[in-house]
Amino acid sequence: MKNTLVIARRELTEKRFVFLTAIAFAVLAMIVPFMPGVHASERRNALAMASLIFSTGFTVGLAAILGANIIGRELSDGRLSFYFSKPVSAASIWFGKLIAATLLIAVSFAIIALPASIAGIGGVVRTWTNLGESLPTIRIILAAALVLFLLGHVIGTFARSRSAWIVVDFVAATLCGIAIWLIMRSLLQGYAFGLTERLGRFLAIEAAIAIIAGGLWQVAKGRTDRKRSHIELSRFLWIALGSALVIIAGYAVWVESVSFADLVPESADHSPNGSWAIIGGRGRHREDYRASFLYDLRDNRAVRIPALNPYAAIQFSADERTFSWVTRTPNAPVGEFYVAKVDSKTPHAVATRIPATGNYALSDDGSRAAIVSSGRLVTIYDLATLSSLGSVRLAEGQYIVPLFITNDLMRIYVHGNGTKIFEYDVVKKTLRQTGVLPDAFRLNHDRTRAAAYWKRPAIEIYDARTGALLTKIDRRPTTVRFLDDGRIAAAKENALEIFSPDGALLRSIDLPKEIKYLVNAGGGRVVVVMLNQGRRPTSVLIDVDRGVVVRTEEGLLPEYAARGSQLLCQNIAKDLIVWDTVTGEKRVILKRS
Amino acid sequence: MSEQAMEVSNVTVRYGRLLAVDRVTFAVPRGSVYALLGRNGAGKSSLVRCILGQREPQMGRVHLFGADVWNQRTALMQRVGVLSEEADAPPEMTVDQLARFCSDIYARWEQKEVDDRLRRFEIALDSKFGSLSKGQKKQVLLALALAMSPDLLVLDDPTLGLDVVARKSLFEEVIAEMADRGITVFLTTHDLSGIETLADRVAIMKNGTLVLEEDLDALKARFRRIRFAAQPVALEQSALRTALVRSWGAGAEAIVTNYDDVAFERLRTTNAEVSAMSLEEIFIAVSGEGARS
Repeated sequence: MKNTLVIARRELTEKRFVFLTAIAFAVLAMIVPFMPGVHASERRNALAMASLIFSTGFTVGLAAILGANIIGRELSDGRLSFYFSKPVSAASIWFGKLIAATLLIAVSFAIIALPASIAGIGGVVRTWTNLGESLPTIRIILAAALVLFLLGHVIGTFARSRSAWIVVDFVAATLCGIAIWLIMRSLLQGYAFGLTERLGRFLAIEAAIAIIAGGLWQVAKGRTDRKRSHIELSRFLWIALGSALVIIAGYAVWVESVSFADLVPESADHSPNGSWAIIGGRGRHREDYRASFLYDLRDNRAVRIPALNPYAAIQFSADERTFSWVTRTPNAPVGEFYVAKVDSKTPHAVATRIPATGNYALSDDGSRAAIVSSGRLVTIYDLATLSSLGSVRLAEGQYIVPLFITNDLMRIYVHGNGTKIFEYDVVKKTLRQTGVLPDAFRLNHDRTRAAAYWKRPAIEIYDARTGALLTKIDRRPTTVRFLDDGRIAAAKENALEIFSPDGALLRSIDLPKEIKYLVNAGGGRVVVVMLNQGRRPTSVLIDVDRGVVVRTEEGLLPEYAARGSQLLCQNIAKDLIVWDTVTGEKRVILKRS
Repeated sequence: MSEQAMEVSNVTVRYGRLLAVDRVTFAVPRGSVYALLGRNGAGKSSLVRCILGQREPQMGRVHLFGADVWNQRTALMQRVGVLSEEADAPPEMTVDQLARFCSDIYARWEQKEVDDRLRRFEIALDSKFGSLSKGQKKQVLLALALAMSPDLLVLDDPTLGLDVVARKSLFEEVIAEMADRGITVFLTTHDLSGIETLADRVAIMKNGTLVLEEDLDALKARFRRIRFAAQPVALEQSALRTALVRSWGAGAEAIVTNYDDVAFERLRTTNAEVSAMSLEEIFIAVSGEGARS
């Protein structure tokens, strides 16, 4: 330890001019506020900014230079033998130099940043950068200096040895780069941003430790031999990095091998008739890695499909033979449109290379898609050939919802101040407005009628194509559902009311708790979901024809968009359950814990 | 405790395809002055780096005082004073700073010795090492190497760049003094005349191989130059081995490596003149062009 400090002191003595240079930069930063053009009120900011810029530039530059010279230069100049002819260990030489370099960098930074800290660096950092407070900024600068220092050492050693071994380094660096890219890409495809970041940090720390330990190994084994020094560092570094990458790759392979049973369910999307669902969630013990499965509710078959995040905007075609989604994240609202066939043994995801927001529609037979892209452009694609069949740009509107009426006729709802209804003829390439609807409405099963009730004085039933008001029901419900036959179920507080398609009250059923939402279970049945004060759900299956409660399930919460006789539900433990509303059978398909 | 200060066993050093040192073996007894001679590129410096534990040989081992120098370099260097071929001290440091640095590193340190020697060499303590002449740099490093009272002094071409006075001072005062104090001295040098009276044992390297290694007295006793007035036909049939035979006037000159009077008498030649050889002449004969090594 004593020798380490002696060497550190010697190195500092030798390079003390660095401190003088740092002081000169600090003085320069103090001159900047008084330069012509700097307003008196901005002097404080100018001082802090100049000091910050100088300290950053000087520190990272110094780090790179010190890193490149710490061993490499003395080796190539034949000066390392001075230490090796003395009774000092390789560890003392390496760590003595390392301590000196660290002190040089940190103290130089502190010297130049001193005016900035006096002037109030926090405010300046907030004003001029997106890094927030001064402490994270300083951390980032010093981390960048550390990275440059270590890289400088490695590159300096490799370049100065003038050895053909550098070809091996190039190949190894390329292989490591490819491996890192493949590992990270595969994890990011599972939206494992947190896990990827943690593994990235682990790898960065491991690389830093490998370079520091490799430096010691290099000095201990290479000593004054330039080429051997290079080979020893290279060998140590690539073995350490390679081993870490093998471990990380093995871990990543395990993370990615999520089976259906390993899934912690977080989302479930029903097909229109409820035969299929796409179930997504995190892999058990796999941090935030997500996996998705296409699940057949009839035979419990689960097939892995590409991981979909909650912003994937999954849709099934009406014939339930095609499903599609958009790969996008909240930070990147435009993603790529994917399509897959449901009825193949292993649904193969086809990357269409079509950019898409989350707003799109599939035709009933799944052969076409109408995709809204940025600039309010709606394009209709033939999915077999991925060719455009036509496109139309809407002049205005904040939110565009396309619908296929037939394969050749699109209806487009353009939400803005009210909702404008357009029809686009794919064959004739004609667009015409057919009517106007309120801002918010719910469509019935065959998209002929729309119910508007949110912030309305009554339930208003409109023609979904022309916007003509068909009927008004004098109620202000919290939720409304169209039943398959056109009847309307409306709920407010404890009361469920059933209206005929023309708005006549057919039945009123009082329930013991406040109704939160309704699920159309098909066949004239509705599931009423209620929550008690402890948020414990109760689901009541009601036969609306007879007006009777068929069964009551405590603690069962159907998915909001569930439909059909077999409903995906969660229980209190958040296990995923298929509830057969006809037989009453409840089948746990995925346990949360 | 090992009787040898240094044991070099089968040391081989390669630089890629170039064989710099080829299976060299020798030992340096404690308290002796051992001179390793060789032309430039003979492999001396590579061997010295192995001896100082600065380079690991591809094959073979070096032991100092019975300990493996590669594995125990740090401890061994407390006992070894080194004057390297290249003045490798940091040029920005002053002589005083260098001395203080060394005093912190070594367990034994005689600052007075350093001061006295530097005064004799007329080198100011506040001089920057980089500003000194080549000879002065060597003198500073020598002063530092001696101040830690070494048991073994390794001098790699110590007179390179020294003027005549400094060279004489080095050999006559320093090395002789060290030898008198029982310190083992191992040196490589081109300055053969200087060491002729000092060295106990001599080795000569040629093309990485040790071609000769023995006590200096024995070496000088067996090497003779014989000049013949006519071509020495009888020489080839005699027991005398030659390192070199070349024309000399109308006759020939032969360097004999196993001279003895009886064998010479058996040549029955009257036109031959025998003379002793200096170490320099022996060196040239052994390592020069045309020598039979």
